[in-house]
Amino acid sequence: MSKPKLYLFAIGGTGSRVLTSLTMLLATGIKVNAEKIIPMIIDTDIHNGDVEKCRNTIKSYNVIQQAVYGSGVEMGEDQGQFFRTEIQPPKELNISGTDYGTLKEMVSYDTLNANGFSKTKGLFDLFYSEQNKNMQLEKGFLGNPNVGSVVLKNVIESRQFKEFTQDFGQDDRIFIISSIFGGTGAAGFPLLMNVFRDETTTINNGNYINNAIIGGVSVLPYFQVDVEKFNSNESAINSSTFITKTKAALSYYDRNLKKLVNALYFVGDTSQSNYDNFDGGFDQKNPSNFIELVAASSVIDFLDYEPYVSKKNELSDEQSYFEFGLKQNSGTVTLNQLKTDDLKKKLLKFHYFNVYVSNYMDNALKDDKLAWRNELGLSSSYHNEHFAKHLKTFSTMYYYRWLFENSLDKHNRKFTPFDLSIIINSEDLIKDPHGKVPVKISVSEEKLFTLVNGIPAKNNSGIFKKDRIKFDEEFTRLAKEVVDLQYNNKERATLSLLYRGMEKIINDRFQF
Amino acid sequence: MEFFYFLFEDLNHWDIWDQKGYSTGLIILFATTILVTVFYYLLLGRKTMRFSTLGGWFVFGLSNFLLVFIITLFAQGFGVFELAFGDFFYEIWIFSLLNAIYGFVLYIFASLFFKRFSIFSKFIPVKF
Repeated sequence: MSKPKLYLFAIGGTGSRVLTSLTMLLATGIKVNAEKIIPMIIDTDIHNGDVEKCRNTIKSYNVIQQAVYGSGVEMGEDQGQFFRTEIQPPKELNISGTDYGTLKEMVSYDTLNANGFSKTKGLFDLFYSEQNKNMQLEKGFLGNPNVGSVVLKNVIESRQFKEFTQDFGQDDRIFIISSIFGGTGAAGFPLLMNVFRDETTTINNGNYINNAIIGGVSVLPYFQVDVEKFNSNESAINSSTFITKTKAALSYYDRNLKKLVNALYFVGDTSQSNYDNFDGGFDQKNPSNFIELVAASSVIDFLDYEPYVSKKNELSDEQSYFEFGLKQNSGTVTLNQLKTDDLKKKLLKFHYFNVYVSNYMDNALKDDKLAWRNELGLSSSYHNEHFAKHLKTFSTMYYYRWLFENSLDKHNRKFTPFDLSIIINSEDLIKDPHGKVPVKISVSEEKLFTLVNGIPAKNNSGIFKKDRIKFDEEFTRLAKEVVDLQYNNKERATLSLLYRGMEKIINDRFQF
Repeated sequence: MEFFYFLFEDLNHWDIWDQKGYSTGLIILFATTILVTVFYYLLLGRKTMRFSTLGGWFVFGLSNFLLVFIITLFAQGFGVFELAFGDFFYEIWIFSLLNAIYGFVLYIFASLFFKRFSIFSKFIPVKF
């Protein structure tokens, strides 16, 4: 059986942020049981900062992935290497709210004043407050799933949704990422599930979609926003209602969704982060959060869920539920608290790779005597070429920033696997939530041994000998091995060499 | 042999130079230079990247120059001409210096041959 494609629906701001974290996980080379991942972003707020960040991160990932594995690389080759999994550029199923104005305008509320519609109007008034009815839809549903459930129905009429149904194959899977406590996600998840499982559907490949294995992650409340802004009418988002909304939504899921979803993951955190209160738009750029990484890991777990089965009725259990737990409850999560050694190693390798790319690679590539560079046949200007620049961009614009955001003080539970004192422009990053400033790092030879919080690297220094982590030496040792593989693709050879070198260094220096 | 050392002429001791002096110098020149080059490319050049720079290579060339000079000086002085310690024989110093210069030139050519056997210094002193 060929590997399935995964259609990954990321709904709302949380959906986009989880997708960003998933991109980081996949960049580490974590193996997934999918031919490729096709993200489908659903957000009425097209200018949302989180969506923008997600879009840019995937774009940068995609450029690297395509340069390395874009042509002539078989599915089984290079498994586990950095950027190995293909993530297609996200399809954005946005039904821009600006097309509708307010909910009132969208449903042509005024026409309900005509004779014979008084009961309909009454019912509508029962479900929607004056504030709901007059809400501008351009910034999402601002925590009102009752509004979202009406507007989002238009998603299935979008061109991108039709393309998805046309391309859907019989082995493909669907996964939906949404938050349960907001507006867009809470409304979008049930809506999509009902569309996918509608046996009378007339959409393309409806039979395949009906029988597909569908999973979802529902993110329970994990942050709160400044309630003062809600009280003073500066924002329409009120985080004090998150729990109530969650309870109501869970109750709805229990009654209506549990038979539709094959694998449902619940993640959340009682130790919540504190965010600024913005009504969507460009300013809504919430920092990455550990919970989003956990939610992203559920996507990978889902792809391994009964991997040899392609239809829902072939599953041993058609409904499964999953939760995530940490080894210990702590305000600071390090690699020691993660259970999976494979994930730890992947994160470690990728971090050292990024340290090399951002701090050492430029000088190495400029050195025309450096053996590994010459063995691979890289030109003296390779550091200025497209691929090398994109590696550096991914590292300095997205990877470190993602790590940095995960470790911010506004999180009551920080994810700090690595020592981020190597970032020398932290102040600038805090002042730049839009992510325009590249992260600058400075790493000393000694620091290379203590980059991982709580897990020092093996240091063989003695009285007469100073141990060093020698990246270029390792790469040079392995260069011939890579050259012998005859990739005929310099980017692939370069990334493969860096991966192998990092693997050797991590295996030599760390023990799990 | 004298053709190789055509820049050097000592007519007063021509027979000694012709019988032993030139051949001893040539053996020292080749043996020392090959040893230094092998040490640089096959031992160090496969073990560590520390000396795999143009500067490192030059330092080893300079070391070879000094080694050839000193060994030639001692071998000619004590072995060939059997001088006592403290005696000064001007021609031996000139010959040793010339041999050392030849040593550096030979080091360059030997490097071009041996660099292919190295891992880290494969592209030193020149990339081809």
